[in-house]
Amino acid sequence: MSLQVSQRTRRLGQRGLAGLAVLSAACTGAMMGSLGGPGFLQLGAVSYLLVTGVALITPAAITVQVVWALALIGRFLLGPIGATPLLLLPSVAGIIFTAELLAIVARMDTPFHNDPRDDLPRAVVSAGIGGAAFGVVFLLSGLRGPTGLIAVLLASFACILLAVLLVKDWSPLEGGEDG
Amino acid sequence: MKPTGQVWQRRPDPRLPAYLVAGFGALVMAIVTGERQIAALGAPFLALAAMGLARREPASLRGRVTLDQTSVVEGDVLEGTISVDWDGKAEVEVILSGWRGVTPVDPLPVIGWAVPLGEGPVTLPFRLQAESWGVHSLGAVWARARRPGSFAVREQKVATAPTLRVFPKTARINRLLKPDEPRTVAGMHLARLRGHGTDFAELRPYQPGDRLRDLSWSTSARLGKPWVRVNHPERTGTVLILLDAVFSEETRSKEALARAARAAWAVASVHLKAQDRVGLLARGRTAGWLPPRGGPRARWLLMEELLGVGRAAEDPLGRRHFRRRVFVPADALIVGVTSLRSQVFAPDLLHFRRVGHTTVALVVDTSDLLPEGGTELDSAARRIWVAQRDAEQRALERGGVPTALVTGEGGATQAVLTLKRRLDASQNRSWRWVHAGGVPAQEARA
Repeated sequence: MSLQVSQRTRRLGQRGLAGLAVLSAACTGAMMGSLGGPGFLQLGAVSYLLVTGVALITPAAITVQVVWALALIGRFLLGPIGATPLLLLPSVAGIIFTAELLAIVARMDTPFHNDPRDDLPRAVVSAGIGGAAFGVVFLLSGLRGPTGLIAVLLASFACILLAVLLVKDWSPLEGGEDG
Repeated sequence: MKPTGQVWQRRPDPRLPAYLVAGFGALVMAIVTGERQIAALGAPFLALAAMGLARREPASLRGRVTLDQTSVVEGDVLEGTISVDWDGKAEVEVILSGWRGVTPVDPLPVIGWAVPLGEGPVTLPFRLQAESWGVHSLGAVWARARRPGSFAVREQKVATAPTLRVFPKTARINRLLKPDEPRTVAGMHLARLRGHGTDFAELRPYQPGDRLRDLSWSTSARLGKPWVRVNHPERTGTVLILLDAVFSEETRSKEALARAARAAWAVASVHLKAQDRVGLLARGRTAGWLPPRGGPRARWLLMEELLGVGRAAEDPLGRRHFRRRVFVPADALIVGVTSLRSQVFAPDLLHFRRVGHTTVALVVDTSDLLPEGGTELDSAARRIWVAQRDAEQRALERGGVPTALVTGEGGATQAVLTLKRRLDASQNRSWRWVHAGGVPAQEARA
């Protein structure tokens, strides 16, 4: 088991992941921007990219980055635009994928090598789960009356429960490289 | 190698607060605004947070450090291994931190590893180079374990590394300084008295009571009556090494101290081999005191004391300060070893000279450690520094303390040889002066 790679390789890997995070944030911001809306929302979508840049330097800013993106999407939902789930779903998945990548970059910020190969599939799976959960709850929220409200609550709880059961019974990293 | 207790702390992943704030924030906003669709935004983040927290049970970590040797000489490379074990599957990061006096050779730039997901135990080999002399702590091994996909990271000190003793590289010296008044114990110094020994003093006619083995057969045969050889008895002396332990946190200053320590060890070693009693008095930012003593044990004690000074240079917690009374034997030869970087050491040496001790100074040349600079200001600063050192050296000379410069080329041997010549000349002058005045030596000394 080789645990060491050169510093150059490690830096290249970290920079590559940082670049991927910025790309993901740019795509997510573009998707949010394509939803239309007033100018300040477009500006907000651009500033999401800037907040991602800050989060690359300070991992504590990941919270700001995620909340900022959600606030933008929430504004789209509340507004008169009538955004379709088809556009919102990749945006939510993109927010999660970007946050996961930022966390990996933060983990790699150690003086010794950190192999991101285990984390990358996990980020993809997390984005998939998040997107699916959003899609299901969003569809159920369309039901009218108290039924819709109960359906949203139940769906949210089901998503959380399902996620926990998923982790307990199966890990996307099962059978990974043995220590 | 000491296993430590189970004191550990949990560090959250930066995603955890983000997902929790986003999830619960969206739910609150959904309730406030009455828009169900907003709740849909929070659902994925709560689900992911639940996923991350579901496997939060931390891995229990254990570890130990093994070194192939715990005593090395400056510049040596030592090898060791860190063994870390944990229960279940986890991603583990291991780092050896808090080491002093050594530099990592492999892995670089720090002794740290990220072990991919798997089960323990793992054995991680490392190599260190002993950089500076002294007794150094190699710090502790810290491990950080994370269950796959978990948002909770367990961080724990798993082992304390052994202490490493780094001995200074010593220059070989084949000349002894001559102590003031050798003692009546067999040693290497030539006493002014005459008696049994191996160094020829004179021939004189046989007197009743002389040993037959001292008869000089060739002289007796030539002169026709018995003559005996009279030799100088061999005695031991007392040497007290006064080490200038003034240093700053700068690397160059520590190197200057290391050079002084090497020179001190070289002088001490050669005198201990010659059966002299050697003591050490370190003064400066740390203190050390070992009364003069001889024998093999003295060698180890002296080395311990020197290593203590070396440790103090690297570790502020290892510095000692005492104001206890130091008894310096009246017959002790004081050998000051200094780089003259401080202005407090020369007065100390002059004090010893004024109270009647034979005192010499080995000035360790550290001019090559001065920062290189191409500007005129740099070269002026350099000239001022050298001039100050020369002035200190001249002040010592004027005060009756012979000095010699320990340079990179000549080393301590050349400096000791110079001092020996100067001491011999000085002692011969005083001897002749005492005899010319008809004053017995002991009275003159009194």
